[in-house]
Amino acid sequence: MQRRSWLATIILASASATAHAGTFDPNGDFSFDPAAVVTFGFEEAPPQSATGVKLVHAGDAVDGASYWNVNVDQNSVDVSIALPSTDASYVARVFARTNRLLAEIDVSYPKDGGSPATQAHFYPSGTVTSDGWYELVTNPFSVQGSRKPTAVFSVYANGADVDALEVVPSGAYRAAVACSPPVDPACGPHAFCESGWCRDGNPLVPPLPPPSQRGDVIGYFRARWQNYFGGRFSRVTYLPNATATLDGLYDAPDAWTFWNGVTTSIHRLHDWHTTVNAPFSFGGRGLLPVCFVEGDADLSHGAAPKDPNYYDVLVSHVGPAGTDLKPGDRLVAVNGMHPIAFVESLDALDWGMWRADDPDTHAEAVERMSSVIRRWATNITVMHCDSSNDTCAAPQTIAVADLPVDDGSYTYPYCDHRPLYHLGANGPNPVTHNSYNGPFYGVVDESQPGENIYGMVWNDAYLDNSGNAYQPAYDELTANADAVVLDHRLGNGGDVPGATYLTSPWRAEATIAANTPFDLTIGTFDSWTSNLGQQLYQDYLPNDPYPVGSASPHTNVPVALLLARDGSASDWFPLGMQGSGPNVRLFGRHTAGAFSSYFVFDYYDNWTWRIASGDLLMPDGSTHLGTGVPTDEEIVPLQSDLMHGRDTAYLRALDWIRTCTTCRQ
Amino acid sequence: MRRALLLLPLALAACADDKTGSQPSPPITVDASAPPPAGPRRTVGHRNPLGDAFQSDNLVLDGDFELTGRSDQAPWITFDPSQGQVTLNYDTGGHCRSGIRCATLAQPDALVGYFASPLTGKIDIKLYAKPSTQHCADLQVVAIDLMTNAEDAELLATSQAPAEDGWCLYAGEADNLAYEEPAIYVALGSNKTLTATIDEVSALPVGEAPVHGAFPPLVPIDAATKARIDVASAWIRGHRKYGVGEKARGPQ
Repeated sequence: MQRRSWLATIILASASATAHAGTFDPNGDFSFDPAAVVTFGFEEAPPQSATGVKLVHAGDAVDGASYWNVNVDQNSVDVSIALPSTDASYVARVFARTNRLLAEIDVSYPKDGGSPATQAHFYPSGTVTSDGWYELVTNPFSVQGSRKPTAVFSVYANGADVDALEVVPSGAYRAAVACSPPVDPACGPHAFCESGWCRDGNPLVPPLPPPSQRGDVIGYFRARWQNYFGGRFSRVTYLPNATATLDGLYDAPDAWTFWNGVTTSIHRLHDWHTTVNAPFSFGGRGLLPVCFVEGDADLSHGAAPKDPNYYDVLVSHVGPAGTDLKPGDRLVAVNGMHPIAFVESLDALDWGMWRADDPDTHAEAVERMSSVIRRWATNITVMHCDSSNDTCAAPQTIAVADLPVDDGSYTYPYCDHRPLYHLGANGPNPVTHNSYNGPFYGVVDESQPGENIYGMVWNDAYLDNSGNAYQPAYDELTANADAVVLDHRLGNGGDVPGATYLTSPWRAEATIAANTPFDLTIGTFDSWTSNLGQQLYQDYLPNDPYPVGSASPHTNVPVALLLARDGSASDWFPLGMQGSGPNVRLFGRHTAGAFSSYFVFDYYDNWTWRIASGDLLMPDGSTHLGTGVPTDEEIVPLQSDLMHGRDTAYLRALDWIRTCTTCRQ
Repeated sequence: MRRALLLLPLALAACADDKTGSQPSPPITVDASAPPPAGPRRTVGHRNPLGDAFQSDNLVLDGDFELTGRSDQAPWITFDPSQGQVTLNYDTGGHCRSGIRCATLAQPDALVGYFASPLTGKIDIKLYAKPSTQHCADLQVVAIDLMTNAEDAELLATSQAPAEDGWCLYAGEADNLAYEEPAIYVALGSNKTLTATIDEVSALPVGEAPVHGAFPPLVPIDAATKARIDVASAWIRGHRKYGVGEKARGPQ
């Protein structure tokens, strides 16, 4: 949702002193709260520029004789509001009808070195009317009026009516204070430290369910996890921790503790599909246009030994300006911890937390490294390396607060786990790394005369009614290539037909597994036996098989498949390629093991969360979720390669293509 | 907020009554200082904003439509026979039977919502709806298995006309659907202008469900309905998603 401010409507309160406060009289007539400092009855016609917003005159408006109907496509609609010049705390209320209204109040301050912008989000209070209106409210939010902030009421809807906005003083003003992330006691109750400032969490989330309903709400979420989540492996391994987290919320003292706890519980389901799209976001501090990869710091283990559990974290590629880090430099630690361990420790803070099902897969954490550092790290420890003499300097610890200021003008490349591309002008932009616009394909730069080595770079595995995006690439590869490098080092998945198609030219036809339906039988995976698995495999096979290959595959063409951060249908695809014949070989990191589908739940303000559901059954009755697809050659970028512009996994794949002896039969 | 607190006891009463299906909602606001005039322009009440959360043992994925979006792989989807999945539309507030939101349905769409099956035993299914014709029989409610395209018998309305609150109740005992992909299929009759509002759907193991009196007998579905269900079922099964979706296909 993009923002477009088109209306400077500034409304100050002038309500009757005799009116009932912000409520309805016995006849159902509404009156604003007499204490309101802002009221807006939506009586004015929106300007013509507000496409999709219209004034509706009707007898059933909540306030006055009209309301707005909001039916916008991409942009939110902003209404400027004037708040008093005193420091105070407020709640805001508005009424909506017919579909959801996504609404927030955004408060921004002059660039005077003080606290940053803040926001308050609207959620249903539970008050409804017989003519279809429902009330949305914010939790109390503090505004430092003495700094003369700019405030807007921002709404987005696809076909919702909106009426009767009021902002009313409520609660004690709470000044924002600076903090040291990730956790700083200075922030106090219902606040968290992000990007250097304490953020009051209450205005970001729905009201705290009252004690009489709280157990029911917890029970509702608990039942959603228990009844529909997983995956045999994820239910056995991760579900108990997630439900225990929910059960700890009965005594939550405030809205933030409660709803952040629900989100933490989702994170602890520890599943690749099971993610949260937060209704709020705060910009990071410090400039760090850097993408990292899991790697092997072969030149610097003397100064900083390798961790026994994780790969090293190396700079893969950087933006065109804004950092002195360069490919091959090493991120040794964040806040004194291994960088991956740091990112994965934030499940109660970072609403964007993303975990693979396979406990030994961590590429998701590395992909989000820069974003997480800018929000929750206090310091980073790096090693700068010198390609002229293949040496690295001693580790250097840098305060994140000392990174250059990010004024929004810098280019952040997309972190796609590809240090380099090899398709020349046919490839993605090597600066922005826009590989999401693929597939990209053509003869690779390194192909020698007569070799006809082709490459393809793409990020998903999705076929739908809109067509087959991969067919032009595959047509060219199958027609002209004598060898192929499939660069799927970032794989977002898609659907099973997509995975099937991607395997089809390169291997013989087979059916290698059966998809379960969604996990919709109570206790299916909780009393699992091999016999049950074999029986269900036979049951599901006719309706939901995983077919791979084709009747006339090009098994005389060597195909090197590169993997690094791959899940879901991008698990299925390499599973279909793995071990299929001597012409196919997998290089890189093993996949996420996310062999399921998902349900997506949706609440106000684009707050959505996904719950994985289902598994993949193998002919022996085993389940595959939780176990990533291993590569034939587990290989990560070498520090000594990155600093010289060499792509380790790609070069090894090229070497295999040129030297393999049974791959062209 | 003052008003919401004032109405909380009424809200709790309404929720309790919702469970038995007899209380019109939202309840009328009572002001002790003056008798309410005849025919107020609107009444005001309070609901649990998360819907029937107290029914945590409800096996329907989102029985009250409070946590379902309008697209994607949601607990409920709207299916157009010629287009596949289309946008799910809603009504709100007191137009709904409980909570804040309820689904609306218009021709030619059908509504499909997932529920879970116990390992054994039949399943008690209930659904409330308001057909625009006020003829309860104008809505078809069928328990189906999306995995095998098998349809259970149709759940009939418990009465020909809506109850005093305007809602028709559809109820029945579906066969056990363990290890399958159970769903509730809701479609409109042949009247091309017919619309309906749907809310408060529950599925519970028989024996755990509140007693609603004797259920009407289940009836076999007709061939035309079966054909429509088969189309929807095959489409949904064939479009199951395995990935992060559109939002992660580029920089965040």
